[in-house]
Amino acid sequence: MLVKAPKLKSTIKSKTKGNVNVRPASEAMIELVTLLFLNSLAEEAKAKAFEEKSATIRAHHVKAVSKKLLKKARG
Amino acid sequence: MDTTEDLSARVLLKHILTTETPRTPITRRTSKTQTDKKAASSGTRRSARLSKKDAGGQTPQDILRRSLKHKIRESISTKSPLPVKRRTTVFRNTLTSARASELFDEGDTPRHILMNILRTEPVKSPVVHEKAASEEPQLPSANSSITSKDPSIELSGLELSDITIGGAASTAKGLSKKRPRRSLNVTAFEKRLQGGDDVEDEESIDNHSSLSLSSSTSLSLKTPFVDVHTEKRGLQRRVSNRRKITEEEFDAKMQMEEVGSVVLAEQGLSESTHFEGFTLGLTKLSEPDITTDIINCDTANYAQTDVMTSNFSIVATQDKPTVMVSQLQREMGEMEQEEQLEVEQSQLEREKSAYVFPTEEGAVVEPQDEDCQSQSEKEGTEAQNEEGKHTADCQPEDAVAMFESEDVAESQTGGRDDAAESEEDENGVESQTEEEGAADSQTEEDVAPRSQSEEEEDAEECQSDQQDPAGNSPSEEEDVVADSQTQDENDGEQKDEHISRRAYRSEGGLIMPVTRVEGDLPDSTEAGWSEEKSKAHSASDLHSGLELGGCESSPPHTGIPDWAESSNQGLDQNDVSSTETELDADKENSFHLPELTHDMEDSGHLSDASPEEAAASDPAEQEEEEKEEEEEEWEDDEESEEVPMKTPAFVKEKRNFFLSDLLASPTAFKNIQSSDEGLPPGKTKQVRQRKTGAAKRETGLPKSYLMNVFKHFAKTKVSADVYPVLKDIMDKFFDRLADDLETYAVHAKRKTIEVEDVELLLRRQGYVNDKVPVEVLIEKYLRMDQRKLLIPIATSGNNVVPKRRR
Repeated sequence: MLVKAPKLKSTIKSKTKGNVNVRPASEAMIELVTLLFLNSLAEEAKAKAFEEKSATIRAHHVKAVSKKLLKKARG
Repeated sequence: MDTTEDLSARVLLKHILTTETPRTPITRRTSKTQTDKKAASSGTRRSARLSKKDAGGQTPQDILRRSLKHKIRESISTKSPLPVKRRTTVFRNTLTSARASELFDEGDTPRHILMNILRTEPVKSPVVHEKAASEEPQLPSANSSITSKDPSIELSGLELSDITIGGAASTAKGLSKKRPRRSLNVTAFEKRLQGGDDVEDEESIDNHSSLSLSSSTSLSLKTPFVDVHTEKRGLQRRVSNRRKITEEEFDAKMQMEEVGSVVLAEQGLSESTHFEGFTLGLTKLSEPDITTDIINCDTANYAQTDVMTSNFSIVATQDKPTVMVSQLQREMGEMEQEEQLEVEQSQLEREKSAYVFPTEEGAVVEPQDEDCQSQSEKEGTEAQNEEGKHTADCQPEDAVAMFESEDVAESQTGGRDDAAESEEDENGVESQTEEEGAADSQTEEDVAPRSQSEEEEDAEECQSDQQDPAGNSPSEEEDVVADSQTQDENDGEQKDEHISRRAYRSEGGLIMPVTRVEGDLPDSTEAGWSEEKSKAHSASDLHSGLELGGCESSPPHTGIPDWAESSNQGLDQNDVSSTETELDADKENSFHLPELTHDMEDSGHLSDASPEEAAASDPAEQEEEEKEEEEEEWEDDEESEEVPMKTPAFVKEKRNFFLSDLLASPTAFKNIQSSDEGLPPGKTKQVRQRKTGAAKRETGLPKSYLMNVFKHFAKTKVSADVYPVLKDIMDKFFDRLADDLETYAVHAKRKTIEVEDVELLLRRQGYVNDKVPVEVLIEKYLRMDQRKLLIPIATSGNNVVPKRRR
């Protein structure tokens, strides 16, 4: 958050099928979206880890949470 | 019945009142009045109390009432022998006084009677508790005890309280039991971690004796173990199970070490930071597969190509001793693991002696494997040396066979163990290299072996058949890539690594081991190839952009130095020039060249992308340029590639094998591999290259940034093994994100993604409501410089930034 998301724009552009441009303002918005997504991901994973009485978030916690969250972030 | 009881009490009171008033003796007037009042009050209270019980109107309260009835009757029968009606007689102060004296010292019968009755309740409360516990739910008992306290507190001071204290204390204990339980939960939790069998028993006991006096002591002992922890215990068990598995796997792996596959396992373990138990299982599975696959694949390859077999047989015999020697020499100077790997390789080679190719492949594969593994561990410098040396040794003798074998080996072994490991390693390494920059030493190392490999490759290309166009092209491409970096140390090195890795990805890991091999730095041991090196250097000078094909090196050697100089200056120029040279080379030389050029182009584009970014040049321009170049290259390549593909079946077989092996691996690897090998096996390498080039498989956000942000949001410890999963999730997320945004923009007939598109997306996802406007989120998460772009700020002079277009 304190650092600019490196290669965010090129990553997005690489994923798009057609030829679209990205404005710097909308790039900031896209960064906002990713931060929100990561935030909710981290929170859910933290809750899941807590549920298993583990103070550390592990890969399987994140994986179990990811599917539900990705479905929510479909838009 | 309840009403009868209540009525009885009320009736009693009424009787008291009615009987008392007419009979008020002098002495007892005051007392009577007092008693009346008290009775009335107590009665009212009592009635109120009872009514409260009635108001509940539930089964426990009914039970309470019954118990009360029982108590009353008992009290009446025992202490006050008169029934309800008898109390009236008692009121006559004959018996009541005596009874009162027994229980209550005040002396007035009705009052005393009532007091006795009231007192009897608490007195009998423990009994009721027991009965209630056994017969009824605990609540009524608790309620009765609690309610019994009230009258005692209200009516009397000392006497009743003494009795009730016992009950109160018991109930209080029962109530307060939970607190000590909770405090002990932590310790209990810890204890549970150690042993969990007792917990269930304790909990079951606790449930029963929560309020019962009899079990209070037992509860106190067992309280720590009560609670929900049973469930957690179950979860804990799972964890312990996991550990056991991993330990077992580890042990199994340790055993594997004896066989010689340890190196792979070790590397898998070392790399297991990401995969924990997964890699272990993978290595176990993959190791045996390698040998079998190699042998099988070898046979398939050779069955189809007669020419190759003859050549390879010759080469194989020659290569083995040289390879072994070179390997041994290198091992001495390098890591212990590498030595083990080579030893294993030699062993494997001997095993494979039945087939020329298998041995070659084994030798090639193993060094490659070693390289892959060691690189993963050490970030490739040393491993590269080994592989580079190995390749260098092989090259002079017969590069074609080596490359082919390498390709086969790569596809097989690389796909299984190395691919999985190397891919991941590569990802990590690539990210590291991308982010941190390769060391100069690597560049130097890469240059020497690559140069050698290039020359040999060039020779091979001209000679090689169509069998391994795919295999050769990547390998050659990699060699070329390696060579190109001689002059541009840092940039070139990075690019090569990037390209090699990307090429590897694009080709499903076939290329990777080769790239690593090429990347190795031959040290003084390669004196014999100095001549080749010099030539390679000249060729490598060209490649800041990493685009020259192997064939190109031969004819354009003269032109290479010129290009090399120019390449340093501008990548774009190199790309253009390289594309041109590539086109020419393709037409001039053998068939696989176009494939190489494709790879080169792709890698070149990728490499261009990285330096471009570093240069902070306009990405749009570069992307456009890259796209243009890609299009040109693809067109040319397509034309030239039609001819060389003579053995697609063979290639398909190889790929099928490779893919099937990969699918067998755990899902952890699938994520990385699937993206690379998602293409149907039947497609040619060119098609794959084209797709990868078109897709421009960006690795996405860098690891440091991802982990940093995730840790910041998580606010708890985050293990490092979440990174691959996280990366995969972000990949999918970005895919969907880009797709949605593009759809929105196209719907608005625009070619640019606008702020409103993203805002619409946020709204649809639910982050933005009527309650939560976008600006709030912006201010919460974004930095100031980004916020300035989005939210207009008014500066002095009525100047609003950014300027509103509306």
